[in-house]
Amino acid sequence: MSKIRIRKLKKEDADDIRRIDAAITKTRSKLDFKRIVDEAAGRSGDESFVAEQDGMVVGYMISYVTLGNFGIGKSAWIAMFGVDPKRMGQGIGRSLAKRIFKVYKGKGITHVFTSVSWDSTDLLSFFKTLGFDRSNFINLRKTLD
Amino acid sequence: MIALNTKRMGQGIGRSLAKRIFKVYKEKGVTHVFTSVSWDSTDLLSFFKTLGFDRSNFINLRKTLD
Repeated sequence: MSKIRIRKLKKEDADDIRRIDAAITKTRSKLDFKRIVDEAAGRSGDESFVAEQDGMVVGYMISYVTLGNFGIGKSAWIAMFGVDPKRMGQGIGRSLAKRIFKVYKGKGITHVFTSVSWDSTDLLSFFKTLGFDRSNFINLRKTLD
Repeated sequence: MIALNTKRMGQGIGRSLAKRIFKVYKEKGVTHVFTSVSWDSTDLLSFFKTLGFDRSNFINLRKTLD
């Protein structure tokens, strides 16, 4: 198993992230990855990382800090996460998460949140092994029609 | 985040703010708006329900960094 290197997200990572997302979802996403990565890499205070293995980007985790959302104070949100399906099971996602937890803890942030679709059982299991539990928050959605 | 002066509640201020946000996002081609509300913030849940929000398929997870 090759060594995993975790480094900060760069604007140039957009194509690799698009490639990983397409490999996971088996579809060509309509998301504007260039804009998403540009913004995530450019925001100071927010922490986003990629994992490299054999000189290739094989995973990513994009997060941001929220201030005072509905009374929960300063906290971090994991907004996007993915690992190349061919590289899963090697601890890449765990390494990305651990780095993010370490950096936020160093900044005095005590809680990290994320949202996962109820039927993404692999993702739910992953976050459970990282110590996540169901929060008191209910996720609501409105369709603009 | 949403907040109102408690003395001014019940006058449609929150609804007006939300309607403006929905309008702007719709014009930008955004089709869905999400939010998260604590299960026991019943006033807030009622407010979002009247705006047409419904429970999404997403579960909110939390980890304490210790």
